[in-house]
Amino acid sequence: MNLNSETELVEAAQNGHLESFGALYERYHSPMVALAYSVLGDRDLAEDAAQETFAIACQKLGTLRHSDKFAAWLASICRNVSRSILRSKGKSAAVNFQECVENQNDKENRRDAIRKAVWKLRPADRELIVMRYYDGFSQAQISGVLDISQQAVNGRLVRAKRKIAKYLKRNGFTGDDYETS
Amino acid sequence: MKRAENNKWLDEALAEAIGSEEYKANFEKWKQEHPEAVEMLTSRAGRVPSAFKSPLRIRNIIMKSPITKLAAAAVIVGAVMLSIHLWDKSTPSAYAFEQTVEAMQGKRSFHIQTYFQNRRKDEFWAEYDENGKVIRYRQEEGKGRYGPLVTLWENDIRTMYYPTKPAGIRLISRIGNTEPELEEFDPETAAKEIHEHVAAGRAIMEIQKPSPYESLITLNVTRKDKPLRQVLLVDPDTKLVTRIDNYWGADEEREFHHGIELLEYNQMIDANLFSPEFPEDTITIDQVSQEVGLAQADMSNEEVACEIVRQVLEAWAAADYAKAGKLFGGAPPELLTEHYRNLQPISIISIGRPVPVQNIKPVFRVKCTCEVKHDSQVKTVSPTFTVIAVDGQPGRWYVGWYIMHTDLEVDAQDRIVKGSIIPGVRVGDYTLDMSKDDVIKRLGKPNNIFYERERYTLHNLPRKFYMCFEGGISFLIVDGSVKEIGVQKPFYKFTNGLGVGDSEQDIIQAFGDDFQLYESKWKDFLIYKDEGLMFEIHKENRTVIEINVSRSG
Repeated sequence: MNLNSETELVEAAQNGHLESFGALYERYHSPMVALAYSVLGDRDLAEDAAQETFAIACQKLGTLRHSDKFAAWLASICRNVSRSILRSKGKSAAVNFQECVENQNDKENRRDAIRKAVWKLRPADRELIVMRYYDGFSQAQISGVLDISQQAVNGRLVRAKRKIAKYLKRNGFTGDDYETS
Repeated sequence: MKRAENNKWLDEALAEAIGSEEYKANFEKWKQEHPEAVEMLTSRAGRVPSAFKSPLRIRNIIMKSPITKLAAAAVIVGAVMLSIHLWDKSTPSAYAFEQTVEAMQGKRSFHIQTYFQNRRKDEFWAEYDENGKVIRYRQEEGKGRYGPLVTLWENDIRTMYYPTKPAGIRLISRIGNTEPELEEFDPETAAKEIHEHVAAGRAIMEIQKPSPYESLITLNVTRKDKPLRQVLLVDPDTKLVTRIDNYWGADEEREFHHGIELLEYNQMIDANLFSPEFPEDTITIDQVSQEVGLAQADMSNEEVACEIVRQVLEAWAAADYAKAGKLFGGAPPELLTEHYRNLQPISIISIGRPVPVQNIKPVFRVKCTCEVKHDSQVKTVSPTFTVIAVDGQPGRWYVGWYIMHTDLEVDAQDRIVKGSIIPGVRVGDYTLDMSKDDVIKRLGKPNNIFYERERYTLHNLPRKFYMCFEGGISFLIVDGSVKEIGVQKPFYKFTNGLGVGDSEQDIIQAFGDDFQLYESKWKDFLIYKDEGLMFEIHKENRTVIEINVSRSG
């Protein structure tokens, strides 16, 4: 059995081929953790959400209509799982980043400011930014998971980064600070 | 110089702030932790994978055909030519609202969040078939002590329950062969209606293209026939509407009233969202698999309303829980032995005249007076029962299990009255214009701080926000002082004794007819502007579920 393409992997997994599902797991585990992190803002919860996403996907794989849309389908499960976790925890995504921590150094302050800027983006842009920088996913990978064109990924990344830079500038952080810290 | 456009430093800073190599995929470990999922997958070996015949993303499929591509291109070209307004006719990417109407055709699913007066209201998911008929939906309404009230609908069967409420009640009913009316939530319908109003000259649309400060297209739609402005945000890539906000009032007084945020459109919705999950001790009132209530026979509506209240009290008094449960809409004995365990009717003193509930027919409220044993004490009480026509069982009526206006329904703790509501002035010890810090000093840390879509902590507060506290009281804070106080529990009462849990009719009797009524699909709002009062009314039982106090006028 030559399982090169993703659609072949998905169709084989739909037929009960566990190793194929394992290959999909290896491929999409990290993007799902990133996606969940963009909703939850908590790395441990994001990992839990990713694990649950694959458990649901494993059970519901038979209902997937288009094998070429596996990544987008997985992402929609992941968003729903993450939102459920968010609801059950009764917290907002940004909560971890909005706690005021005293005695932070400049670097930590800047890191917090960047996270706050990211969590101020609208959810769709936040997903993009987190996926791009969580584990360095390529625009092609992001395009597959978010089911939008690479051009759209690029355009939205540029716009989102512009907003982040603007927020940081308003809060006293610029490239100059970064280079000197 | 534009550092943000050429910003290697920002890439590095983002990777440093967000990046993680903490979690690596480990399929072997995952398999060990999810044996049931693995079992389900491997049990499919050798089977033909099930495939849905009808695609969710109908537009993608259509666009694969060269003929329909040409047809679609012609439609878009035509739409652009007929466009209501172009921001720049020389720009190839010029936008026309018809593109949005076109992009939002072929609806197969949506997921939205609604807002009312800057508060989150309902979250809603719906799926449609290829003919545009609703297949199923899920609504999460409000977020009280027990989380949201969830309504699921599929195949004419509606299930309503609180997912996290211990010993809560779940109602399963058949709402008949009528398709649910989801226009209030449906962004496709909203876009079409706006387009029709503009095309008919009833509204003017102004389009603002994306800017460095706003990545979305903004459409301002001003109605000529009513004091309404709708502001739509459109994604320039997908052309989909992402938000519709409604502002009511003349120019100077225009205020945000309600809105819809489109979270997903034609995306696969997790099937689990349409499967009910509820605590094991939930009491189920099943109106689908059994005949419930009382047959009307040749009685008038008013006569059957009185008769069923008489019968339910008599059966309950005689400990005939099977009969009482049937009259309570198909409830199991646990409704009376557990949910109302401290309450036992002894005798009926009088049954009042049935009063039809405004706007909802056929529903009656019947006030009666009876002797009950409550917590081992004999008392005379005057509960109000709601008598409702059974959905899906023509000619039958049942008594709503939510018994109003008795104070027997609420927990003992809830009966403690902490203070008075003085319209336009204060709620208990909390006055309008008192400082935010004073509120926190008295009530401690708020449970929740939010405004519109954002949530906040005490360390990161905007100019205007809501603070919600344990005990069902909330505050709108503007510039550091209280501008509005919300009450969601009967801890606080008006000096006439009215409060949360009392009937709409009692409120109107007490405060008069000079109110504005805003009706939503699931709740109504009585607004007494001159008094600075707004009452949120439960759609079914017509009781007050929230009171808002602000400056009058």
